[in-house]
Amino acid sequence: MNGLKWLWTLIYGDSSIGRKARIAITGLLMCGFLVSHLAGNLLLFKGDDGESYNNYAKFLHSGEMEAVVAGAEVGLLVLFGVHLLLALVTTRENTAARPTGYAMKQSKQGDSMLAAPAYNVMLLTGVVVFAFLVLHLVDFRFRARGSSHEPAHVVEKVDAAHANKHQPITRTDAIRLLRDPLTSGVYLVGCLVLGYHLVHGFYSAFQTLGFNHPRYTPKLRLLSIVFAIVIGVGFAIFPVWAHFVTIPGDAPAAPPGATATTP
Amino acid sequence: MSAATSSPTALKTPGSDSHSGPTLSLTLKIWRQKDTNSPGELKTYEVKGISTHMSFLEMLDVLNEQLVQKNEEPVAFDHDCREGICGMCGVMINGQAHGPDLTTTTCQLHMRKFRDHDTIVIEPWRAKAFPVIKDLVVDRSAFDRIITTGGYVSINVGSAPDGNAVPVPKENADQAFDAATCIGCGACVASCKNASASLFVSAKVSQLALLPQGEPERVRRVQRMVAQMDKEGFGGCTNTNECEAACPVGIKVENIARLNREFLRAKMITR
Repeated sequence: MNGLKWLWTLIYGDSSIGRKARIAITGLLMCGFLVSHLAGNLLLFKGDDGESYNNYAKFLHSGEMEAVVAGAEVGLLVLFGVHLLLALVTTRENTAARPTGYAMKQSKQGDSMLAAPAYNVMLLTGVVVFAFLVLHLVDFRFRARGSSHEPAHVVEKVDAAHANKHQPITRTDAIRLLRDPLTSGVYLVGCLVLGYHLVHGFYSAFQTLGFNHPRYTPKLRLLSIVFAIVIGVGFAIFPVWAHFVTIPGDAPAAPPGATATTP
Repeated sequence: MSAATSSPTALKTPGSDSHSGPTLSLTLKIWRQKDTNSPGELKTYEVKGISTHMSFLEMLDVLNEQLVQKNEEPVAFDHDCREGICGMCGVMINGQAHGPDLTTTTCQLHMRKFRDHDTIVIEPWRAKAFPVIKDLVVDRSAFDRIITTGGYVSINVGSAPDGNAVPVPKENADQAFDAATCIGCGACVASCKNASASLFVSAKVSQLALLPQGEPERVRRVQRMVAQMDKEGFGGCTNTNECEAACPVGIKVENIARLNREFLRAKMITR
């Protein structure tokens, strides 16, 4: 067990500031991943019948990228695990620091309505994001959940994809998955909650790592809100948009005036 | 830090002609606790004829005078200078450290901030590291222990040097002075949702880290003070900035960033 002590010290640290710094670093690295993930997703919008998106997916699953993607997946798992573990640990420490609460408690801050409550619900929003992420991985990474509401031929197609996990997901498959009612609802809520988490999280990470300057910090707080909106709304668009886009297999749209035959 | 009980003997009788202007009738809900190990509870008291010119502590003095006259135990609360500079006073007033005013200690809060027939809830600072001694008095010696681990310059710096012999940039001198104005009242801990002492420790670390005299012990100081802060059972900082809003002397969270910076730097360069 002693052989792994260094690993535990590396993850857990030996001080409250050290633990917060680890939460900040892992959080910022995951923000970097979110940017690249969103950039990749934006290819779904490209009007080339999914060619760009499908090529991008193929490239990520190609032989030369296999090791890189596998490494990135392990890295993300470690980042997320450390972030969540230390968040739980520090929340427990912080709760223990005030065993008896106040009968009455009011803030003296004049924060905006958006920013003020975000820092009070970081663990809650983090847990919601975690639950959303589990479903997201089940759907898109492991493709372990069928979409039974879809027509039989679609289910067959998704099941076929299950059979070979190395097959990249196509734009059509992605849109079909996003149309699933559970997926749509959970993704919409999950992405918006993620954005709310970032309203405080992004700015807070810089402060924790020691960056605070009267010239730049007010701009950083504004940037944090802008970043949170871009990420939160950016990802939340996809489960909504999926219901309005036409993909192969959809029933052809009724021609204009088709209902006019009804007297 | 001594636990002082208010002395009402020097006060005028409430409602006497010493205070002109409007007076207030108030309902006070005050935390009463016999000692650290006894359970406490909020008790309700009525006070009348409170001049709007009184300070909050003078209002408590009036209440205590009434309690003494009724052979009841007066409310224990900390106070000393009553000029806003010593850091002894400090209670939660309607859920806000030192009451509703910004950059104001409890002793400098005036009753004109309240309205007639208001109900005021008064509680002690709440933190595991600040156990209640009695009523509104808490034991803040955890702060003293943090200071003893490094909040000083222990090297011999000799007698006062010539003003120009040790160059200190004006910005550094200003920031060090601002940090040094921390009076150690504990409002930062009381107001923080995590009962974190980060603002206090950051002020004490900053005032020395910014000056040449603090440089030789810079690396050791921050590590020892943070270790003691954790040992005392204070929570961690989650950057809610409530401490800055509650601080009666306006210590800024910029100091917490400096504390984090100093700590991480020290951890990296320690051999």
